[in-house]
Amino acid sequence: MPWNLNSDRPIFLQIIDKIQIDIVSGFYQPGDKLPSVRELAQEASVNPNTMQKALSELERTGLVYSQRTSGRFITEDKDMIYALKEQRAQALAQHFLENMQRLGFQKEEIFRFLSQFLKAQ
Amino acid sequence: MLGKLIKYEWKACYKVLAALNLTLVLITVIGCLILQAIPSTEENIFFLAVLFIMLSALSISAFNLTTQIYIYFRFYKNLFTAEGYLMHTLPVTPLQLFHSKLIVGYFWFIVNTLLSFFCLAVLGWASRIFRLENTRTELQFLFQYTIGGSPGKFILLLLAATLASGFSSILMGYLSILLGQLVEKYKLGAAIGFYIALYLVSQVLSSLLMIIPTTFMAVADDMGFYGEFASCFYGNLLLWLIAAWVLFGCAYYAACFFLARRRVNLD
Amino acid sequence: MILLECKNLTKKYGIRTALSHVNLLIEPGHIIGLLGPNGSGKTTLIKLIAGLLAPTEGMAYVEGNPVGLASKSLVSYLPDHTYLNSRMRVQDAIRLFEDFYQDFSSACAHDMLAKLDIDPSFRLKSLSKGAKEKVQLILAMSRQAKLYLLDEPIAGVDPAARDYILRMLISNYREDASILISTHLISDIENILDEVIFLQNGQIRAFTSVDGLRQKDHKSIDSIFREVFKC
Repeated sequence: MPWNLNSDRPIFLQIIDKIQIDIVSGFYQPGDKLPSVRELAQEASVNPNTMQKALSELERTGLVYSQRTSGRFITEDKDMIYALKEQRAQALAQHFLENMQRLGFQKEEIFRFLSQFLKAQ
Repeated sequence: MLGKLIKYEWKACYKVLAALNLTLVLITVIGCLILQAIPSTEENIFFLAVLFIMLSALSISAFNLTTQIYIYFRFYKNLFTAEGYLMHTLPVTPLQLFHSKLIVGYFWFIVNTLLSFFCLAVLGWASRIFRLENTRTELQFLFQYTIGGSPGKFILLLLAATLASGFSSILMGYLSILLGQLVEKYKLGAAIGFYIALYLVSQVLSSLLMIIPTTFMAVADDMGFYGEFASCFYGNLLLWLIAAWVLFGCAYYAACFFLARRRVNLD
Repeated sequence: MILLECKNLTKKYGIRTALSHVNLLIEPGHIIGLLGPNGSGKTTLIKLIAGLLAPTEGMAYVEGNPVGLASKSLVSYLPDHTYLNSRMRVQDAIRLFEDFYQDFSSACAHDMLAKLDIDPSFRLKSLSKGAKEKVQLILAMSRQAKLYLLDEPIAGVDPAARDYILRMLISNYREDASILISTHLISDIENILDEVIFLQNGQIRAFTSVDGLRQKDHKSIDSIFREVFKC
């Protein structure tokens, strides 16, 4: 997974986003071991402190847990992962809706447009 | 650390300085061959003498001067230009840097001077001018009066003079460069200026020092003891010179010691 | 634990003040960008800490040691120009560092040389400008120093090598050491920084966390820099 970080948002927030997506998309399976802070920092070309901060934040939310000696693991709580998936989907849908409304679409029109679009795909 | 610094200083400059000394030897060998090729007849003697003087002047002054300038240049370049950024960030003291340069520079200076004397002697032998009756008498006179006739004592004095003059010359150059560093701009130009100034001052001071044996001499002459005091004078003259060089060398060393300990300003 | 402390650090050249009463505390474990326009005093500050300039006033301390013999063995300094004798071979330079610095790892240096495709038996004068810079950076980073002072470390190298160098800086990161990087190529380097110092007219204008600044202004450090120092 490429990191594609841009510099105008706090890097640690972008790292959290990226790892969350990697988890909900199944790139990291529940119970998988995460690479070390140093490896991840090197892979993403970011400061290790920033990576550390992002991982601590993920740990705080429970998505990731650490075992003192063996490193960090993805949570085995599948419900939690699914809830996150929904949460992210909701955010995307919200974003989509706002943009469509900005173009002047009404809710019904959006629904019609979307079902046509999906059929065509 | 001083040992390591000396090792690297040696590695950095032995090639150039060894090449310089080898060139001196080569010129001497060629000079000998030329001098030997000319038959030493009466009419050739004058020509031989001129050739001898020219060759020795060339080899000694040119190569001594080049060595001296190279040693000064090395001190300046390695410590006060881009390379100084490396040298002055090594975990060594400024005095260790200074002493490593001093020891290696002094060694080469002495080697070069002694080699020059040796080449001079060889060229002299090859030119055969010492076989002339009047040169020989002159030399005998000189030997007898300067050092009481013993060539061993003469060589000893010459060695002492070489060591002492080398000591003061090297330090005078280093001191000029260190003084130049005190100036805000044109540090190299300032160093050359300081060198000229130090040179003049040392010349004046050593002339003043010479007044003492010269007065002795004049007094002796007045009293009609010329013969006895002449040897005393020439012997003393060299001793006085050696004393002056040692004195200046120590003064320069003290000044360098003080200046080298200060923190550098590399712009 | 304070790694670097600058107390009232001032450097004057005649009437021109290059650095004026700088007070600075740096802790270990950070990669800090030293940013500022030309002539703002970046190089002066670094050279004062490295001990290549004598301060007019004030003093810098590394782990409590005033700049001197003790601080020099803790500091790894990379100047913004070449400082090795060009007749030297790369391996001679490595041997020199190994001889003088106890914390230098020649295995590490050879490894990085191989990755950057530099033959250690080459003389420095036969290398390109970029390759020379890489050699010097490798020498500086092969030490296990406490404070790395890197003056324009990536200015002369191509973008591909730049990426490698940034990764090398990250992989060399240690919690007991800090890296101070002066640069004007902010956008290339800003993701690996966690703190920045903005220097202007010889004074510290800001010393702050990078992500904090991004969060506050919603801009990259590069654009913030461009705005702050707009001509």
